[in-house]
Amino acid sequence: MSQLKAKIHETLKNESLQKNYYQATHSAVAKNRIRAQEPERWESLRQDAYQIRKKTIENLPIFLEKAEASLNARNIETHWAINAEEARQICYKLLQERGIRQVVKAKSMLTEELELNDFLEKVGIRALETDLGEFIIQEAGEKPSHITAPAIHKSASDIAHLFEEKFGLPYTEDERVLTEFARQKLRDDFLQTEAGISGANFLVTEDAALCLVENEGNIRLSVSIPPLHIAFVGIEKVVPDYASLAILLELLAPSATGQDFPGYFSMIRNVEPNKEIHVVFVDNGRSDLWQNQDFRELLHCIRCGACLNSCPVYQHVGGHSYGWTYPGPIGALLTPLMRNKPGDELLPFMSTLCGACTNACPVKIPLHHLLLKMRHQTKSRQAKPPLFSAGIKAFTKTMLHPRFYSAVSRMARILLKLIPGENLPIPCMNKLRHFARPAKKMYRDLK
Amino acid sequence: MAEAWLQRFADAEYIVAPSGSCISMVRNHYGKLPLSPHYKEIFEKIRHNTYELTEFIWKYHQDSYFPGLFDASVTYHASCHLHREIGVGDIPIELLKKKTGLRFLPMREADRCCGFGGTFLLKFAELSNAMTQFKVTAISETKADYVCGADAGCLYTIDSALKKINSQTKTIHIAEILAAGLIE
Repeated sequence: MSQLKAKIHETLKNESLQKNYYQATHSAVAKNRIRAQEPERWESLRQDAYQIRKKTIENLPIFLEKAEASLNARNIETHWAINAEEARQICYKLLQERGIRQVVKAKSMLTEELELNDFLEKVGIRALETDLGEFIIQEAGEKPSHITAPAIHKSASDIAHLFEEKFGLPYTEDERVLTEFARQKLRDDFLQTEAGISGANFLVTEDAALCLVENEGNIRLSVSIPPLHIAFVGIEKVVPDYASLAILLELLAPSATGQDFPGYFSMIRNVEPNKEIHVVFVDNGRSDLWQNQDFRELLHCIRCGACLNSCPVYQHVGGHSYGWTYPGPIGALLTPLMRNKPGDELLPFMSTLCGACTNACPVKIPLHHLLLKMRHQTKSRQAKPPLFSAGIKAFTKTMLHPRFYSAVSRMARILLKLIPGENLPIPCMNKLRHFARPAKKMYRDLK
Repeated sequence: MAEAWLQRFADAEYIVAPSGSCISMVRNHYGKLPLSPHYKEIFEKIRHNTYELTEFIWKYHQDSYFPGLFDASVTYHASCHLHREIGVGDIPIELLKKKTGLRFLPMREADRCCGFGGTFLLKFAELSNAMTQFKVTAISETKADYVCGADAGCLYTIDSALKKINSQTKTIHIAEILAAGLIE
């Protein structure tokens, strides 16, 4: 059994885990008020967002130059990292030069992609996650299971057990008590730490502004209290102007959590006295993706998680089954392209192509069509087993000759009627499914 | 195969199929195939005359549509390609509701995938089973006499799972309901 199938099996056996995924994602989709109540406005916002992202990504090199110039004009230093190693080294150098041994971290999927925490630990720097979900999974020694809700797979009871074990907090499933405990614990960290590390949701290139979206206020604290702020920005995160930003913002929170607007929205534009801000532009496979005309559209993604929330496969198998930073339909596409480990090529096949993702995507990435395209490309690279090729040949021949097709299907009907018992001889299907007998009359014989 | 299909239907005034998936293939995917100019021309000519059955009835026979009798409770599975790729919306439900004697029972998450997905069913059998189980639970909750849809793949998947649990709900193609009480 492949690693992927082993993980699927493990998750499917765990009913409470599936319940956690289902309830959280389902309620996020259900809460999207604009989509439910103002469908026309929702569609027009999506269309605008699609145009904005298309224009931005098509002209990405120009916007990146503009972004750098406008950041530098505001005394925000810029760095460029071609891969994860370079990004980590830039960060390490900045911290080492200032003798910093501990950092507070704002939630960032990019730093997950860069495996920054593991690296920092190895070089003796403590990284403290300050987002509640990230805090929980860091304590549990796990990885995020969702792009915007990293601890979505944990129930209140899981968290209560964890806090009891790790911190000796008396067992309680009261979310307020649990949250307040984490809040108090983190408060001192913010005050005593000299560097904050964040990602970025958007970077407005016109008159530079680093934009951060969150619900807890921890990002604002992480980037404003410590004297040094290092922001990792994927090169696709640029937004041309504030009008475009407004449209993307209007779609982001409803798509992610179903809220009309996020709890906190921070725009960082100026460096305060005695402070430093460093922006690290990260490529890590993105310019290769940009060169790839077949899948360039994946760079339009604004990492909202709507495709995960709407995906029945994600709801069943959960985030960890996908095996890398980005799960769900977007992850099934990004992982084979950006990481490309043996086994990743299976991910695009783990979908029924039901199209719920494409339907949900706020920037209209045709996700399920891209999954299909990737399947074609994978298939054409692989050597075909002779039996498979012969089967396809026979099928095509049959379908091309109506009389022959008719004869074959009549024969198949007889054979299917002859099979005894209630199960087809395919073991994996028999657990749930009962063998369906052919109809009394064929469709083509109906008059 | 696409070229053979196009040749066969080249002169048709309307092409109607009782399958959302087939119509979506023609409408949304034939355009991406490397067709020769001759077939491309046929495709451009007929693509807009290709309809899914309920869509066709709604568009051309809404007024002349004679509903007929179907005395049973029915729930409806909104199959993925019919619902999202063709976008028929509530048309099938509206047609069902017109039938005399038919009691329509809505299903929760009616547009959620049944888990079929072509070869997915075999490649990821365990996952497919889990998805079908979800669908069958939603169907059972309605306690309807029939569950109908407009895609054979889904109906097969749902039917085989319903039979396994000895459910009282039977699977039926929406065309069979729409035709009921008309022929006899």
